[in-house]
Amino acid sequence: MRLTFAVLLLFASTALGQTAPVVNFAIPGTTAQNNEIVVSKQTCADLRTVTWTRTGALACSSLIFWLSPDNCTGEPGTGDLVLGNEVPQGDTTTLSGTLQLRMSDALAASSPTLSCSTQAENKSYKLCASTEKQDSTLDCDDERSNIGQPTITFTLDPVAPPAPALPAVTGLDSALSVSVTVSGDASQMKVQVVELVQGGEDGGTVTAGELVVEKTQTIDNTVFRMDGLVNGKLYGVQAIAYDKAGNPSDESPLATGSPIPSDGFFAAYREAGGQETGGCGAGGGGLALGAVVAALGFWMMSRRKLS
Amino acid sequence: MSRARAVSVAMMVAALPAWAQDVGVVSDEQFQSPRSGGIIIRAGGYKPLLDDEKALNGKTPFKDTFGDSSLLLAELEIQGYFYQGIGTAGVGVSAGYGEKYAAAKLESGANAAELTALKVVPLGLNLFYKFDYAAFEWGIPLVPYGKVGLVYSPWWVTKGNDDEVVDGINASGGKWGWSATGGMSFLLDVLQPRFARDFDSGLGINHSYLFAEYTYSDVDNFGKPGFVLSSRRWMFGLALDY
Repeated sequence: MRLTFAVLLLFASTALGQTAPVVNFAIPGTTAQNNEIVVSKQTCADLRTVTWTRTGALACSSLIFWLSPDNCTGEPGTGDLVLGNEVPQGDTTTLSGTLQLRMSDALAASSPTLSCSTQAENKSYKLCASTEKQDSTLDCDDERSNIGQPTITFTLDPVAPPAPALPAVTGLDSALSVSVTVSGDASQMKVQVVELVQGGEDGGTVTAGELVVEKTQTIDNTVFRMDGLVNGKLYGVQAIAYDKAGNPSDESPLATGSPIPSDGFFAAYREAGGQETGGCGAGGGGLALGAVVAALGFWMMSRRKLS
Repeated sequence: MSRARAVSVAMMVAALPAWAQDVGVVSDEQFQSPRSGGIIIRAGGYKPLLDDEKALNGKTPFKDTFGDSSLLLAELEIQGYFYQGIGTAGVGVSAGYGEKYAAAKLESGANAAELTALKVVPLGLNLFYKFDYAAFEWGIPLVPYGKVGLVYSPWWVTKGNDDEVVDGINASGGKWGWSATGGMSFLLDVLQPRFARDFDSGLGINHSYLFAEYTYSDVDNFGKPGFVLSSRRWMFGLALDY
């Protein structure tokens, strides 16, 4: 009886020493946005990579990876795409790996009628890593559960955002300040400054001509400073929105604006007769004083306290 | 017997100052950690006398651009003490930063959509003396002090996102000068003597002060042409002895 108890205890301690399995996903590069991989129709058939690392033992079953349009519990079923990276039960050496995701494969697995070209609205899949886990009494669960974290979403976004509204343009010195309104699910905005072309039979309609300068920013900053322009010249300005998948919107209506010269304080000072010509003064003595100040500061900070 | 009584009386007399210190009078003797320097943080309005430049002939481009109000100048100073006796003397180094923004002007004189700014970083090296003997020995919590020193002020002017360039001249540089400062500190230890002792034993901060000081500075490369970054200003702040 005592021997049985001791053996049980030994087994229990071994089991207790095993930690629950966990898979950590990571998306290399800059393709991920908030753990979401988004592709467009154009990039629907491109491969996307996710790396994984594992901790804990696979005591009850193998580890499988799959894409599901619903949830990650149970066995992969109809509509799910199993990725060919199964790790056998009891494997102690395969602790990391790489998964290749292709949206076109996931769509085909969901339904034979789905494809990159026919899908007209957003379609999302969750990346699952599942195995059967042990409960507190060391029994194996009846069904697989997801052990992957964080939740990685793989999305096809075939819909471009709507065209932005007319940008607001303000003239600066040799530059234009352009304020844009974010449209739809845009994650980035591009502003283009273009030459204006007179069109129409009466010559009264202006259209966008050759590109002069363009700039792209995330939607955190909706004010663009477009430099390198000629004061007094009338330019056209248009905005384009991009969603996470990179789908471009149509161009916004064409706004116009002219850079206008202005004087800062130094120009006003010089115009008033001021004789300052810049420079460090006394042969760059500022550097010398800066060095002295830094050295003294260091000396005083590092000096031992007087007793 | 009379000898023992005399010893008792002497001990009581000796204990009286210690008791008095506990109820408010601050004495340097009761603090354990030695003093070797100070850290000062201060801020105040700084209005450079740029419009006083002779070549401007009474024109006031600084006032016309930035108006009458001052820059907010914040400074940090670190001091080392080389004399502690009847007062404290030492050397201090300081660095500060101030900036002021205003709208650039169109040719018509109207405000432009972009901003222009004057930015300064005054650096200082000074000798100082503060009469803290009365605070430590007599419990008077006021410490007058004075400083004289050398100043170097890097400056730059921006318009929009960049340094302004006028007639090929980049609007940035530095100016040498000197300054003299007089001020009065209030020793905060008298308000919470026990807290002050804990501050010392825990962090090594011997004393803390609030102060007001007046600075007269001439920062114009000692009278040479160009920017006059001189000023006459009040500043206020917190000082810590360590």
